Amino acid sequence: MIDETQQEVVQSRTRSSSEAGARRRRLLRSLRTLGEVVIGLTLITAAAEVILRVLDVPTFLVPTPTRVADSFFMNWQLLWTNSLVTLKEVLLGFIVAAAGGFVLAVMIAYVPLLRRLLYPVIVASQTIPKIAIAPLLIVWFGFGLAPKIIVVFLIAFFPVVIASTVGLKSVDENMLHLVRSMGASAFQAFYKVRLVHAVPSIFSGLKIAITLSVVGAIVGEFVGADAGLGYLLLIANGQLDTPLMFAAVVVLSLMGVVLFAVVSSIEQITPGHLRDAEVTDEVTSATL
Amino acid sequence: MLSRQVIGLPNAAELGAGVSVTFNNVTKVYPSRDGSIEAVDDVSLDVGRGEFVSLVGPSGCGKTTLLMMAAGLKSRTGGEILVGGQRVEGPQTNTGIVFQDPTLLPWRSVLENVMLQVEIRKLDRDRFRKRALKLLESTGLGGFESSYPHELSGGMRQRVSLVRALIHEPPLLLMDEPFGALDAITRDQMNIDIQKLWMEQRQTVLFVTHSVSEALFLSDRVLVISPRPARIDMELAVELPRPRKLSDRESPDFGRLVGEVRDVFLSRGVLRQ
Repeated sequence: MIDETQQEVVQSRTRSSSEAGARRRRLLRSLRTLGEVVIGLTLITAAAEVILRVLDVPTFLVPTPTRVADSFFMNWQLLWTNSLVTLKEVLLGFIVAAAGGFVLAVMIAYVPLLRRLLYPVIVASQTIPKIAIAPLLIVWFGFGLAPKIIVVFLIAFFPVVIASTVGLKSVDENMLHLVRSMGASAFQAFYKVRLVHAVPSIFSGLKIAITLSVVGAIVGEFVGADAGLGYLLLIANGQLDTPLMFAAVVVLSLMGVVLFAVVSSIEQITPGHLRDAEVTDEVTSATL
Repeated sequence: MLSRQVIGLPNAAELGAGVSVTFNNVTKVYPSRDGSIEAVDDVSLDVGRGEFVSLVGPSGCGKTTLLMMAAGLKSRTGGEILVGGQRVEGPQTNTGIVFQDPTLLPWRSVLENVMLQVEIRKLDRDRFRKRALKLLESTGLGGFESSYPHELSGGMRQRVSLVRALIHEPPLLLMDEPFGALDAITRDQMNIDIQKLWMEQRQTVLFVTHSVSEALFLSDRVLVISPRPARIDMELAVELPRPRKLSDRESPDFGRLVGEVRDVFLSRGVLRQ
């Protein structure tokens, strides 16, 4: 080939040799972000401690961070067992929401009739406040696991459906033409092209869904439960045990962050995440 | 550099030098909100085995529709299309297609993108892997097998797309403005490369382009398509010796052919003076 190509070659070589360096820089950047978050939280906690002590705010209104920590260590067994209950509800509900939402998205993406039929219903279902129908679910399904899973599903499936549908439908028409000209079956076109193409969108839906799942589980527990962090919150509230309430909220928030991180990590090892992962990284660090 | 040995191709006789393509009174009507749009009106054409034929015409004239119908990726309203004597009824699998956009899968490396063709066709991976590497080498992409599309320039991406269209030795190559999005210099280079590849493989090529000089430079025959509905306004045999050089474009013969096409455009109101 001629000079013009050679030039392209040189440029691209330089780019790909810097690939390893880029990965290292990315790792350093995430570490720095983490460090910044830790420092930020420490500063805020310290400031809260000082302000609350100086103003002498009563503990039943706002406990100081040290009192919350005290309560955390005194009640850790209580918090742990109830966390497990809530975690189970969150995970089961999330799995149902993710699977159900994805199946709905595939149906909507492939069958125009279903799109016209289902889309309005799905959107309408989101206008119903879930907290309003939660008592009804208790009536129907009792105090056990089922109503919580249903509430989690109702709250969390929506972003999965919307994001997955967008991902599945945004694939280049010509790319599908191309694989058909190669003799691909509809199923091959789906898993070799459409599905992988949709991975970043699906995961953006799943990341929203996992955080909403925690909210859903608590809503379910508030309405009627005999265990779980939401239940513990209500009990602590009844006893005016504000430090325990704060401790429970901290645990809940930690649960949300960890679950979000788990979903993000799964995305990183899924084919198709490639360059979009960098975009997500940037969005995440911008949010942080 | 692009010798038959390097690319590892069977010789022209083994390849059977491509397939013939025949359009008999093909029409295409699109339904639309206000009535129907006639996209193709009674097109008949014959492309011989191993012939390089270009379709030239204004934007939106239905050239792409003709190409997609030949690929079996768009239905026709009337008439029939034969590829290699077989009536086209569904997607044709004996083709290689290159679009204006490289349409590569961003999560696959260069080699994996080329090998998609091999995977889906369930061809012998080892054998075609070697062929893919040789073809990439011969199109100036040696050393880039494991790069990803976003790391390449537009011209390089389009070369990957071309290699993917050629890897399975298709008897028919369909190209829809393949170099339309490239800069002028890269485009010239691609014209030289495609001529070289075609002269060795001699598959049948249907080539859609806006560029009159590109069409004349590459083709055995140029079909000038009218504004919508598409009809064949003129057929022009290009009898310049091959391999053609870029400088041939400044020759009097070439200029005369460009003039003929321009006169058709003027008479059809595609161009106004």
